[in-house]
Amino acid sequence: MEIPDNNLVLQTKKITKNYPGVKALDNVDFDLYRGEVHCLVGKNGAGKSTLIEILAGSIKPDSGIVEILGEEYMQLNPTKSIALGIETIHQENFLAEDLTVAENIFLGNLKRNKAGFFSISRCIKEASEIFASLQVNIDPSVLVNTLTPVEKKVISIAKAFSEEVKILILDEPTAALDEEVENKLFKTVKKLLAKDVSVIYISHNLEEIFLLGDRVTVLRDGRKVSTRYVKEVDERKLINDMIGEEKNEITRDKKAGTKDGKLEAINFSRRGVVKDVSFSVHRGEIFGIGGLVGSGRTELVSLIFGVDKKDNGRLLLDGKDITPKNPVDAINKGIGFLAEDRKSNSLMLYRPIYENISVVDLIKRSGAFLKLKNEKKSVQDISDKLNIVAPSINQLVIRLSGGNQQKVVFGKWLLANSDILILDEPTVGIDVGAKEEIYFLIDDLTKQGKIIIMISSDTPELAALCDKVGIMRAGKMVKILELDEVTEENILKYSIGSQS
Amino acid sequence: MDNKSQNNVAVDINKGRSRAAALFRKQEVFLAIFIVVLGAVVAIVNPLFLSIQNFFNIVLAVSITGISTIGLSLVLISGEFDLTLGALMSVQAILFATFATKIGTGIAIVLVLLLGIVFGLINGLLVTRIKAHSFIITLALLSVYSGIALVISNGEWVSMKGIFPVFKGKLFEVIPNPAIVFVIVVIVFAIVLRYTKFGRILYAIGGNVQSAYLSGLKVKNYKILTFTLAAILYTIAAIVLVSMIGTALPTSGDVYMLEAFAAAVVGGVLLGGGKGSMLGIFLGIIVFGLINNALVIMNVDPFWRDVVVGSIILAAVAISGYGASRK
Repeated sequence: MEIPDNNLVLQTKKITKNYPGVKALDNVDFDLYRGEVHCLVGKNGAGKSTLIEILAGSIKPDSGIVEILGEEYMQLNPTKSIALGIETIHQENFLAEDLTVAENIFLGNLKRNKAGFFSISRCIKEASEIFASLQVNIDPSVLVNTLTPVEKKVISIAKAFSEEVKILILDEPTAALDEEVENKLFKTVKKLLAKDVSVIYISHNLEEIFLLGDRVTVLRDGRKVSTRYVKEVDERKLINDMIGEEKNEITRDKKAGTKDGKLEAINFSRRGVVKDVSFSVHRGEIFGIGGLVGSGRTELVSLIFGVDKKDNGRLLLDGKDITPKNPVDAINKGIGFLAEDRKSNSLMLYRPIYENISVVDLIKRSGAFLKLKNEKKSVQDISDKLNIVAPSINQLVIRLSGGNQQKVVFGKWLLANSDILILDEPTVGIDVGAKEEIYFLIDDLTKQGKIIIMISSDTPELAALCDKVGIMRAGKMVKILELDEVTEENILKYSIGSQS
Repeated sequence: MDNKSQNNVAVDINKGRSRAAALFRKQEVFLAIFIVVLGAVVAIVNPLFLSIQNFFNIVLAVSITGISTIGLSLVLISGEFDLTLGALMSVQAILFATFATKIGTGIAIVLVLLLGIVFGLINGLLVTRIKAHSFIITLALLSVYSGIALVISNGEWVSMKGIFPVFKGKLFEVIPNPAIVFVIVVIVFAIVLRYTKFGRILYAIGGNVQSAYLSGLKVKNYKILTFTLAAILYTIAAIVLVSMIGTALPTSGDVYMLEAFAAAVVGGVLLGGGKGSMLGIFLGIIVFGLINNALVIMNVDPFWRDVVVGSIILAAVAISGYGASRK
């Protein structure tokens, strides 16, 4: 190394963290030098978040050592981490929206006047000084809730200046920002570097890494793949490291689509969220939607299903207009929506399996009274077909594993016999066995001539299953990959925003 | 098989919560045992407790509370709050007594039931239109209705002047008529909750309103309907009450609200929605009647009554692991 070792501020040695069924981190060594920007990249689930949460003290590692400024720690806690000068800036801003900017800057360390009382004027004055040194043009006396998202991000970072920060962790700070502001943000970061602060920078945007980074470490499936100087790598090398050479276990015969009948989504728009998205998908096909979290994927399908109000957009099935006005209308027109985050959007956790599965079908039926026998029989059939592991269909959903819960959500739409199925992250947080069963199920649905639209952050999954993949970026569908273009590499390349 | 181990992991993670949930499901069992034990203790102290007469005394004493508790429970199961229970009963009591003495009982019953529907619609519409928690909205409405009761009664009580004494009477000289109404309401809503589409939809909305919406439910309409049904039940309770005691006060209903909440919660209705059975609610109501009756029979100083009742609510809720199953 050309940098002398006494400049080492942080080092992790053989950090390992297991979750049920997943090795989140596997013997990861990572180091950080004074005044450098060390970037951390990898696919979703590669272990980036777990690593930084261990450094921030919010997760305890199973084994391994964290060394900070020469001191070794088996585990940290948030208070300890902050005391050691580690500041984490999360993707979301954790600011007190109803307080002033100045109060937020000094929240952990509010300024007092001579009498010992809190002094807002001192806070404002000192915040102004910090802003001036950063060349930030924000009035410290205004309320945070009047600021733009970008200004809030800048303030989150400026907060670091009010404290004795030695290590700043930035978790995808630019995911919601446009370029102009990114520059401002970068300037702020550079000011920090000049103060000998070290930065760990997580980003999906490779361009930023080349702009800002000194070194870059790639994580994949919880393991460190490489650490290199940014000068010595190119995008291709990084993407290769991120994907690896793993063989795909998932296979689907993509030519099985019947090609008659076609669903067209035309010009779906919602101001500031989704910009003029159009695509089409045949019966028996899977249309994948790729892109980063926050790129407008979920927002797009919410418009299609009629959850959110749209400014524009029509849905045609075989040329016939079936644009849903609201979810009720969508379901009546044969569309099903497996929403992301099953616990908050799709399940009644404290109700039994059978009530969860029959709800859509039940609502569609006429008649005031339930036909409990029929209901339980048809739910039992679905449950057997999906291989839901539970003592009986009277079991409360809260007591099922993630995979089985997701099968319950699938069961709901299977029983409703939806013709078009929108799946938003259908395999998040479930074990490998259940994943495969769900892939099999999705494939089976396409063979019945159903139309599937599927959002996923799991790139191999999208690449292996989908006939076409539309890539979302900043609310736009920037690219639609056709059958033979659907590869992991392409999906990743267009998602992270470099067309080179 | 791998699935099995996965399942075990999930069970481990949820152990604390699922244990509470398991207890929760046995709320009815817990209440039944509680009732039997308490009954046995009281019976030993005073054998009069076990007489037919005393049994009907207990049911009679909880009839009014019981009818209104069932109305409230519907709203609670759907995941909302309704604090208008007592105030609406007061308004309806005053209106019923006024109409009955001026234009006849038959028309009065029809009129207050129709007004009950109107009040319920107002509650439901405001709760679904205004973006605030139903606790706040119905708290405001409570004040409005209480005020209305005072305004129309001019703050004075209204006598029935001896007309419409139906609910002072007893069927076959044994069964108090209010108890009959209570039991009918129990049976009807036991069927509604267990065997009708509407009942299931209530649980679906209370269980997870977002899921219900995305599953194609017209959530707002059902909430309005639920508030309306509740208001109708409060109205029935008010009519029975006025007939039973022969007068209406502008505060007649006020005492029932806290008791109804307590009975519903002790009966296993989850504040937050999605949980609660008619059997549980019924037993919850009976527990209250039993405690009150036992205190009288055992000659406990009436000033201690509220202390005992409150302590028992706390004990019941703590033992059944109430809040634990829900964050």
